[in-house]
Amino acid sequence: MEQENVNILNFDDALRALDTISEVFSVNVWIPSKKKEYLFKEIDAKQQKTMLSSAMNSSVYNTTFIKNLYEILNSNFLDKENIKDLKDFTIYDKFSIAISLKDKTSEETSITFDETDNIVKKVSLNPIIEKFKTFETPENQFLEFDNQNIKVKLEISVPTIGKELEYEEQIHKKEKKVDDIKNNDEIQQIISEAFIGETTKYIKNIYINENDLNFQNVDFIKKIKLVEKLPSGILQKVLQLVSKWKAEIDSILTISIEENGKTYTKVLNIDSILFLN
Amino acid sequence: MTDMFLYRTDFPFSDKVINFKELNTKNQLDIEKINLYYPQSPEFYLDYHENFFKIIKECVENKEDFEKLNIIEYVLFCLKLRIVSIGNIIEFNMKSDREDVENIKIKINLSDIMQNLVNLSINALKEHYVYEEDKELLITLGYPPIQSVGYLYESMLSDKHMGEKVLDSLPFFIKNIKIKNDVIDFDGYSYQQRLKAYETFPVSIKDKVEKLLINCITKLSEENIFNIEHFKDQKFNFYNLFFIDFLRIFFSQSPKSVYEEIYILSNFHVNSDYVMNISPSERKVFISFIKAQQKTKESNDDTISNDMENRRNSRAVEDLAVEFGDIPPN
Repeated sequence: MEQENVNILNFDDALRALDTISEVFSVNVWIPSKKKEYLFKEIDAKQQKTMLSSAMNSSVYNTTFIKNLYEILNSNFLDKENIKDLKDFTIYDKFSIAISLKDKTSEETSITFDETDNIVKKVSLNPIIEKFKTFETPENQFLEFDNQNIKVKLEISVPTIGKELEYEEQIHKKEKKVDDIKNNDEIQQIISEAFIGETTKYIKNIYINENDLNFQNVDFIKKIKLVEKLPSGILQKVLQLVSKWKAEIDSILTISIEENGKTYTKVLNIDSILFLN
Repeated sequence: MTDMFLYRTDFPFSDKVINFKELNTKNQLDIEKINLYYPQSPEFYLDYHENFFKIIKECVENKEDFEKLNIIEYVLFCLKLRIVSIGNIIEFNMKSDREDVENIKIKINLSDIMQNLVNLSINALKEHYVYEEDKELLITLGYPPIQSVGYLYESMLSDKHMGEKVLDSLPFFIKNIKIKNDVIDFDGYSYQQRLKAYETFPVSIKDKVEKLLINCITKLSEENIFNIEHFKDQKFNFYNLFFIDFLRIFFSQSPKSVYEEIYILSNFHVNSDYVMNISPSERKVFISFIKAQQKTKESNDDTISNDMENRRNSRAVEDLAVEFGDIPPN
């Protein structure tokens, strides 16, 4: 029998070898905003554990998950030559990446379609991956509003993952746990802050009488203060547009099944639970 | 006196061969001392185990190899040592469930338990490879090494949910990883090092490893290794360190009876150093000689006194016969 020539590795070399082999477990992900595929490394056991800890986090915000997923995307992005593209990926691109990474780890994902009827099914995420290939990222849009000779123009765009992270780091620096909420007033305040915050994320720029307010380059605390001063009519228009875009992305993330002669439909949530089912 | 390690044994999961000698009287007394000193309660399992392990290791020639055995192999070795040194049968007096009988005697053949444990552990880990042919990656699974007992002890006493205990312990079930011609041997790795390496596994691979190991742990926890109704609830479970108690029971003997045997042998001029160095089985042989000798002596004493009595009686008859002018009988 031929003697096999094996090399026993020390611990540091072993870690390097494991890191290298993990890069072979990769997945091509379709990025709708760039209309091309990028190579990502499959998530590893430690990253999955991090996701588990995000799921256990009782914060009213989704900050931990957003930060953790951003870290994962950064470290698992194998297309190193195009690393600068990463921060420009939109939050919808992030959904596509999350679904593809999840699909790579297991062929089926357990989804609760109806809690009352206890309809839990294992489904393949492949149809969603295919739908993403046809998804058109919404183009930036301008909304205008005239009031007493003051012309306000807003540029609306799908937030990038870089901006989303910036928002979380600046606005949700201090974690707020569910247990910290004492009364209805606090709940209302959180909802209204979230509403303004979410809207702000979609506003790329503001022009008043064609003057650029340099909105892109101020921090989110200032951005929110500015947005709060906008007329409610224009905010309503922003909201309508964001809702329309959300409906479009939801149609991509929708899965339907037939059970007991009934059709059950679910819009997949892109959160830490997705990586644990 | 040079120690002779006359016995050798191999194992089902590793290529190691352990050379060993029998447990001697001193080792046996040391075991009895720790049996008396440490309460039979989970908080003392680690202290008990560490001392027991030290005593057992004294019987082994290649100590480094011995320290690398996995927990199943360690238990198998201890059983073999028990069989060679003391014998393969253990009898217990157990409280009976029946109203008409107070106690029942249970006889256990340790050779049968060894065989059951070998079959069960091989069967539970039948699938012990995760192989990704196209990536030339081979992960070999195995049972946790004996060095993991400290970790398992901490885990046992923790508030963790059982599922968490099992999942957290899985790095201890990785034996080695082969990537092309490179081998990562987990043998000497600490838990932290194992965990660090385990956490680099892509989730698809980690899930395969997890599935095989959970299946193995479940199978182990379902089978009865004693095949005895009274012990039907005793399953091989790494997470309650059941094997520590299991070995304690099999090695326990009344220290009084051991001291009694030493006393008897000393009285019969057997050198006390020699007594301390012989195995419990050898001690029994000497004791059996002494008993036999005593029996012979008692029976010889009876014969002599009978002869003397007979002789005294015949002399009296002779005298009487002569007195009456008769010929004494032959």
